[in-house]
Amino acid sequence: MRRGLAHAALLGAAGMLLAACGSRPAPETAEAPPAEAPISVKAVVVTMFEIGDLVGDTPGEFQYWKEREGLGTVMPLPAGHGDVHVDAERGVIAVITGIGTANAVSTITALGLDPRFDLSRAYWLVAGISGGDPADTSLGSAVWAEHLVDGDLAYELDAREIPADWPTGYVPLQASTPYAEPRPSEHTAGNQYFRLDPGLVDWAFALTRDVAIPDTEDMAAFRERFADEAARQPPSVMRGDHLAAMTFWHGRLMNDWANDWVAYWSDGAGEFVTSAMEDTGTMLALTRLGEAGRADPDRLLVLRTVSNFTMGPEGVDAATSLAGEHTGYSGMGAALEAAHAVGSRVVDAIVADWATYRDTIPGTAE
Amino acid sequence: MRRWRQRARTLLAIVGALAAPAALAAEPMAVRVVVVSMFEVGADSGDTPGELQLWRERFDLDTAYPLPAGHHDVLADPERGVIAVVTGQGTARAAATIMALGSDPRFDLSRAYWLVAGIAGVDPAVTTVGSAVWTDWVVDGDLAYRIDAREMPEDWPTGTIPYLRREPFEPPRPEREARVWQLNPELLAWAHALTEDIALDETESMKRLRARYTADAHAPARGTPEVMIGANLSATSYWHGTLLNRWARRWIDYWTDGAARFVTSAMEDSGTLQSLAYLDRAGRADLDRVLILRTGSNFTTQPADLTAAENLARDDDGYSAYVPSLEAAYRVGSTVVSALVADWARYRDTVPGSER
Repeated sequence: MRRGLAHAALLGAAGMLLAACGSRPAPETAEAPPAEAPISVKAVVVTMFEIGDLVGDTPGEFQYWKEREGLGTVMPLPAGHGDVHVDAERGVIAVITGIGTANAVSTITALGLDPRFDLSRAYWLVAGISGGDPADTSLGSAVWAEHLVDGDLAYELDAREIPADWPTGYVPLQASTPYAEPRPSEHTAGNQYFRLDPGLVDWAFALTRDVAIPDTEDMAAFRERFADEAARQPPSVMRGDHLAAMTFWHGRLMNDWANDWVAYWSDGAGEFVTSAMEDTGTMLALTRLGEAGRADPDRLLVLRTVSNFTMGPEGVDAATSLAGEHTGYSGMGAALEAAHAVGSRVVDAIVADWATYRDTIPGTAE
Repeated sequence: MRRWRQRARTLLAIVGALAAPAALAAEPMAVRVVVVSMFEVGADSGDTPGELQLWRERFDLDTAYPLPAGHHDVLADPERGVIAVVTGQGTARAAATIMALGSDPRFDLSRAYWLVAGIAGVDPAVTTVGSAVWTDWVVDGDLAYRIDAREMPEDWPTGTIPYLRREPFEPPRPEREARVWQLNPELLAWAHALTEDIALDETESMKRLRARYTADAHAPARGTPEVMIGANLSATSYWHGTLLNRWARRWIDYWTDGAARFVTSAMEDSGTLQSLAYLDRAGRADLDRVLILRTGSNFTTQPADLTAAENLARDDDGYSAYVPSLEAAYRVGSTVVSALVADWARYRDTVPGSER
């Protein structure tokens, strides 16, 4: 999840979900061996939060999937953030991970190790909202990521306490200056940087680039306040890379850091476009599940849709702009629509051509 | 310690002999204690130690169970029901390993005690390196809004803002949800009482390091290592320096309504607790049986003669308490593990400290 209109509401919603789950007796299904063969899953939709009820009210990331995709069967996942919603016939399931990389890890790992599901050939679609860099994207846009960089794993000094020639107080672990060269190699089963299968990402982007995303007057009015050409555009489907951090940062200086940090860890191959709080956690979990033969991390797609900008428009200071998040972002509705409209086209394609995609990852065949 | 351990083993051997071997093979291991370490250096034994090694070598955790969805094999003494894991660094990795372990049908963790035993930065205004700190509260330090401190309003003390608030430390604090955890105070008090007289190692290089903390406010840094109680700030961002240390103190104070004092800084415990909370809900772990022991390997701020950046870059004696802090974690932690195992007939059903 990230940002936007009802941040208060959605954090509250997460708490309510937890509370609701906590009052439920622990289901026996988690303990007992599966009564029948596990559900052979083709696609897992990974959302991060819901607001209020799962259907029929203000939507979070999950609601449109539940309302429109017929995920009618609810299977409790007591060791995860919430239930698993299942369309067994199509082999499509959806989860809500909760907020932040640690939550994403817990939920995806709990799901991946659950014997009721065969996820060994499943595709994973993260479909969530995000902040967007106004230099690269605009409200409502749907962004397919190839490079995922973690923004929490770092040394950090308060920026008022750094040497005058440092651009940021963030220092790579195992280094002693920002952006130290050579870049430290990853240590201890890292989740600092991941690259998704570029063929799969290309395929998803090509398949969805013409999906129409709703535009609104509010969005148009807000983006007019930005000088960046990209920020002033109507929403579109695009490619761009992702920074995942539980620290929900905002402002020009942090945005500069985000661009430099993504470039640094991807050796210049990645371009920071979207900011949210979970995806390196999701990929860490999938990587480990891959080691256990329970999932295939090469089958992850990350779709982030822009609910708000990562910094304010000209003339608005960072604190004021951040405080504005409490009063709403006009890109929230469009971003939620875009996540479903763009994401579901990919899920539909995978299900429709499962005979092919079961064994061959799309975009990777000769 | 060795004496009682042999007694316990004799007792266990008798119990084991009474049980049917076939049934034992089919049943999951009834785990009594899980030791949670965060990293290991090189091999698990016989070389430079990480947090696992002393447990592996001295606690006879000789049986390895592969845990491919975790970070490292589970090392076990199946006879005593003690296992150890290595989570990897950071809250996400900790959450992954704990969930992988907790979901594994080979282990019955429903009555297990959890001992996080790891090193940490310590606040030189509160204690010194080599100290062993039993954690009363864990507060997550990543889950917050942030703007770069150079870009914030002049009167702000920090660029870190609680979720759902507009300014740093703005009252009232939001709901704690899964960002703040209070550990079982009775269990904690029991563990502290059991271990508070344990002597901890001091070395010449530790003395040299702490002598550099000359500020009046850093008098505790110049003291000797102790077993104590304090709060842990858990953040994947490995922060350092005077200003962030100031933030850490207020952040703990804010989220605990003044009930706790910042002492240790490490990178995993809120992730560990996140997964344990879910496992508790699933009936696979008991959140009331969690102990977190953090021992000071270094200070969270620079000494008087260095800047924060210089101290971060320093690789001479900044971690001069590294090995002593590992020793402290083992010595203090293993005392508790041994006590739990020795009196398992009682502690299986009754959490220590809760009798009265």
